[in-house]
Amino acid sequence: MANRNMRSNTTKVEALIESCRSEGKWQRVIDLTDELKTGSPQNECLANFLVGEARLESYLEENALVAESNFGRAKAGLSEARRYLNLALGECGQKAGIALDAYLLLAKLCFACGEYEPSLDNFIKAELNTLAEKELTLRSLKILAESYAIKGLCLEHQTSKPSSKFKKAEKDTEMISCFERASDLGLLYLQEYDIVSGSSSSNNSTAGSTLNVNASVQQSNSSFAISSTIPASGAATHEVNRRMGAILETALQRAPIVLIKTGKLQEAVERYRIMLNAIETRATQSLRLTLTRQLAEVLLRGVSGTIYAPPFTSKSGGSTLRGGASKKLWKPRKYQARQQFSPRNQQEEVILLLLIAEALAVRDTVLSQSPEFKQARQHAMGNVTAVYDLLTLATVRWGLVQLLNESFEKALKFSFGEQHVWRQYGLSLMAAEKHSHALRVLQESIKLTPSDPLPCLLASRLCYESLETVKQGLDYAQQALKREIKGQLFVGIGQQQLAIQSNLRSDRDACHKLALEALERAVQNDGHDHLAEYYLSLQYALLNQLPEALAHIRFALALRMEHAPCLHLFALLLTASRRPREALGVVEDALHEFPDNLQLLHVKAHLQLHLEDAETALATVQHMLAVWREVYEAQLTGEEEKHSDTKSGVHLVHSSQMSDKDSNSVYAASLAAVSRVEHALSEAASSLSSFTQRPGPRRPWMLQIEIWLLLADVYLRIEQPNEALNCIHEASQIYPLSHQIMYMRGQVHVYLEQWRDAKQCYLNAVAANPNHTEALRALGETHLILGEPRLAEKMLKDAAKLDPNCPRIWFALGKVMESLGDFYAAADCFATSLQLEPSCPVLPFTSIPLVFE
Amino acid sequence: MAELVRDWLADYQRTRGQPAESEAFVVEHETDPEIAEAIFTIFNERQRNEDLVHDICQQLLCFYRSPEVTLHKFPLQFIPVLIYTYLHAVSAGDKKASRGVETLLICIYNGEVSTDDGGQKVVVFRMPILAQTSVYHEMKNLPLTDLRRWEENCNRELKWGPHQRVETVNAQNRMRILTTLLFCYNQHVSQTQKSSLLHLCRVTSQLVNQGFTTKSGHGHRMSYGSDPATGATFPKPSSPRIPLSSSFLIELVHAIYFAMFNGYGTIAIQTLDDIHNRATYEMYTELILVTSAVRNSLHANPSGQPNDGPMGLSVALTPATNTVTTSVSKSMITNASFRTKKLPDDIPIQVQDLTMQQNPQQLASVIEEAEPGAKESPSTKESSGTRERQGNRRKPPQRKFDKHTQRNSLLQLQSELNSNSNAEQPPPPSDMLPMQTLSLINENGSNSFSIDSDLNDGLGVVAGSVALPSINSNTNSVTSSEVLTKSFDSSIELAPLGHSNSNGGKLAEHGLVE
Repeated sequence: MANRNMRSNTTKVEALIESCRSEGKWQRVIDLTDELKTGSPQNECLANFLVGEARLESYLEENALVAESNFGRAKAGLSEARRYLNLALGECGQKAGIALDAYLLLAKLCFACGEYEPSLDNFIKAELNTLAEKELTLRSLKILAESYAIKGLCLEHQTSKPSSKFKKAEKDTEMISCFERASDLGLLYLQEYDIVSGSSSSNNSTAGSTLNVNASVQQSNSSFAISSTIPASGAATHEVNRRMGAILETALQRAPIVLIKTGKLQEAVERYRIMLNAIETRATQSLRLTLTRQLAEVLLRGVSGTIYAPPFTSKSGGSTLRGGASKKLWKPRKYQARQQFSPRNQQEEVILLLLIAEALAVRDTVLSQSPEFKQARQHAMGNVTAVYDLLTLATVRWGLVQLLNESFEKALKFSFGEQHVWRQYGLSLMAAEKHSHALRVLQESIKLTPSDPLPCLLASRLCYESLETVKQGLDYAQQALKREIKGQLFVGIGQQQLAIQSNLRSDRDACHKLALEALERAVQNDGHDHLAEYYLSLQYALLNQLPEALAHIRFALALRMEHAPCLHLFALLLTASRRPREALGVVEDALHEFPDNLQLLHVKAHLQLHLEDAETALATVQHMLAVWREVYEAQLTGEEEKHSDTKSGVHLVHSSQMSDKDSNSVYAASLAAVSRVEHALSEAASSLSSFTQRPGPRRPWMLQIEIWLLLADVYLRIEQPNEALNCIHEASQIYPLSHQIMYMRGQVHVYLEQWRDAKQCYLNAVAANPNHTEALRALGETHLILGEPRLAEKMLKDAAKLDPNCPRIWFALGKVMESLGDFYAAADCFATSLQLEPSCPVLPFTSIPLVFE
Repeated sequence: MAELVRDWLADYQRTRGQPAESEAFVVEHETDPEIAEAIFTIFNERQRNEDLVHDICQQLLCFYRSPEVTLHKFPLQFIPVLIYTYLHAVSAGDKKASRGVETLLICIYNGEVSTDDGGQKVVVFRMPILAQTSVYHEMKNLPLTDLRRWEENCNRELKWGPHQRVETVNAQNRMRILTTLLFCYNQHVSQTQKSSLLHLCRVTSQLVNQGFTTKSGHGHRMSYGSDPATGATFPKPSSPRIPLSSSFLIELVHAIYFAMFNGYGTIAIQTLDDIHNRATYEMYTELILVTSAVRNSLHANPSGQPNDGPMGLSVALTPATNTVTTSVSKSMITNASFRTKKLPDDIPIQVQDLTMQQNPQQLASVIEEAEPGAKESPSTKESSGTRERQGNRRKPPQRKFDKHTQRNSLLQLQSELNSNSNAEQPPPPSDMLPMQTLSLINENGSNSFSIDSDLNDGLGVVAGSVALPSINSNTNSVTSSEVLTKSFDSSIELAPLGHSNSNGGKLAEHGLVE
């Protein structure tokens, strides 16, 4: 080869030329060649070769390869180079030992001109197939790597179809082995190149920026700074050298693709792995990004679990890992470190690859927003979103939304105005149950996609379901409605919730009216939507129009037979129509389908109490406790519990306020919730008592409180007040200051006829939650018994204002009026009570939690 | 078709119990692609061949239980179509008709969640993290922030299973069982016949679209008012929507994704759109995440289209040299321009500063007592002062200094506002005020670390001293300005880059807190 000759002569000029060749300074090579010629004229042949080479390479650097239209121009532009190289071929070339290189370069030249057959001929002349592995100089290494690459590409482009199947297979094998050799040699070349150039220039691979801002600021432990490496004159050439060249890059990426094309999926995967296992170089950064992404793609798209084989386990597994470059001279060096992570199955490998790809892609993203960088920015953005999309696909299945969250959060830095990233971020936050954060992101997403109703609907749902900001949710629903008719249902739900929450009669009536209109329209829009029918039915139920409510719940059930909230509402509607036994039947049937549904169990227990069957009710409640343990205990011990069927449980009046996973503390969240006073009280209590916060999210514990209190109620019915007190004690261990606990304590005192204590308990309950009508009514009744009818009247009137449809309040009010001697008013009250009683459900309709599925 | 299947059924019945013949059957079965096709057809036209469906299910069950591996795997390719048949029947309230299919599904489920020796099958994998070197990367060339990410998840394991065996299917466990079955189908999907992928796509579209396309059935709705009590006569819609869970559909997306890149690109993309529409209708956030990720990767993306090449892969050359000239790229700021740097060791000092500020004895409010008229809130002064000093110690470049002055001016603005509002207040009626101020500030200072505690304190203060509104507003503003400075500090690295967006967001957030 050329260099052997050089080394024997060892003139200064030749050494210089060699170094210029390996660094790609072609103009300098041409200049030096003149010197060489003048120095020793017998080097004519060598000089021809060098000039030809330099012409060829510099032409290819300036003109892009491959494009077909360029072939004509390339022929013209390269004619000079071809002449020189042909000159170098003759006998003197043989003698000088450069004929082989000349043939190889000629083949490259032919390839650049689109002459694939002549190119292949040149390779035959060069006897490329019979080369022995030995140490090579940098330049020779590159020539050789490119030669294999070009040969592979030529074989691929070859137009003549092979005559037989056998021939085709033979050609495929040759092509594949060319690409494989090319990729091995190419990587080796780049590694060698790094070593050689690394010794001269600085070894900082991430350098390259110029803006000197250096705003170092403390943030946790690390500070960020825009590095200010000097953009010296060398940087420009350095930049060029970092590229490996289109031919090599194509060959590296082409190798596995060709393998897949010929149906050798496993070999393709293995090829990717070998390339990724090679030690990275400065030039391979972007290539590695492509390769990691592509391997992940292949694993996700084409390899299902059963045919997967972990990397580097087959055949020479251990030795390829450790042996490295020891024996084979033409193989790239591999990563080797102790305690390497080596994937054992498909998921591990895919996620690992994507994490690496993400780190690589994120690093190259462009933050500059000015227009001249637009193309670069979009390219980098495309790369990084491709990785995010794959990461999403690979991780969501395993419930790793938290990981996605973090990725998207980092992505915001360079995703100004990128609607896809923002939307995905919002969705991932919602999926991770970070409600208020999700809402903020969705707001941005709403802005970025002005025609898409989805973010509006999601925001609206968040407000209704988790953040308890119904008014805001209604706003979003109305925005969604402007974009699409599906918003109608959400407008209806919002109005309904507003109606339930408002205390002023006029407000309430107005909201009810709007809700009814909206829901009717929602049903008109989509006649097959069980949810719309359900809410319409609920709306009629709230308006005390039971026949309509029953009709619509039947529609809803016809559209979806197995829908727990529908069945729940249906049962309540039956109790409101004086058909409690049928209702119990419905609930029992429903429980066959949803055995762990605490809601339905709760209704069942109440129905059994209502039917004076306290013993069975006791069994039901005990079953509820067992179910609670089964469903939630794993969750509370910190383990991510994935396969419970029922995530929702009993979720009475206010308990939805603690569904936010963000708020592990009792005190931090739920500012929006109903009872600020409760909040304040609990703070006071925490300083006083030995109350300790239970671990885990709050909701399950609130559910347990509900169950204990229900159990206490049942015990009172079977006349065991001590057991009831024990239950209350259990409940107050969890959270001492719930108004419901205070109310229940009052009930026990009433049972024991300890009126003063009962009054105090009820007063506490009302202080904690002034809208708790049951406590208000009980307080009124207690006042009456204690001989304070005026106070009783006040309390009961308040209660009646809040809940005008409750017959018990009116009955109690009647008795109070009677004792005050106002018989007309008393009669009115009793009449109202009588009128309401038949249509009063066992539990209020509002006890069914919001549902969106 | 029916003939073919009948022969197939009969053949197998005949060969049972005769080892020689059954082996021949197995071999023949393996090489015959038509029978699967015929079975798919029968399922598509199941109304006409109900008894045949039942027989097929029984035979598939026998296959599944057979020790022959090829026979054992054979039924797995029908899982999607079986699921559709079953769910269709269930949603129409016709559970009896689907008994055969249900039994088959339960048996396959129980088989798939168990190991060969009767235990429960669990798929475990370790969560890979970048902090540990792997066969694909080394530490030195990746940014530190990425390396440290999820470090705490080292050795965390993710699991599929164990799954309980089931005896009956009800509404509560149905979706879970079917999701598990689909997961198993996905594990085997690359070994099934390619043609079964076509049926997968078709069946999936039917599954998610049923009940959505037909816009009939409004007429009878108008009459409900007249006779609502006997509304039970309401005619059922012929094919109601099929309830589907999010995780079930996610498994389906995985299956469809496979089909998309293995020969059925066009129809699979269509099916994916169907799933996406269903996802947005149901508002399943996780599912929408996945479907929009896949859809996004399909247009204008380096990931490539299904018909770009094998598995959508193609050569993607780095455009750097051709498009962006080096001179331009020099001034371009990329994410790599940010370098993580170890801070000098003065961090603990800074924390100390803050704690000192908390310390009641050192509190600058003593000065306040000396000159009660001073309007600038003491802890603001203190905090900005300390920060200034730190800044000097680290010799900040000009830009950073600008930032400081800007921040200070902001603070000044705020304190001016405060002082204005204070000035308008009538002078305090008693000598109590300075003392109270002191105590309030003490309380505040001791807690001024987190926003939460600030708020709580604030609340407490509101409750405690309604009579002194001016002081309240004063202390509150102190804490909020404190927060303001903090937010500036933590987000300052973004500020020079025109990303006032995120900054503004943070500020707005704090503004809201305030």
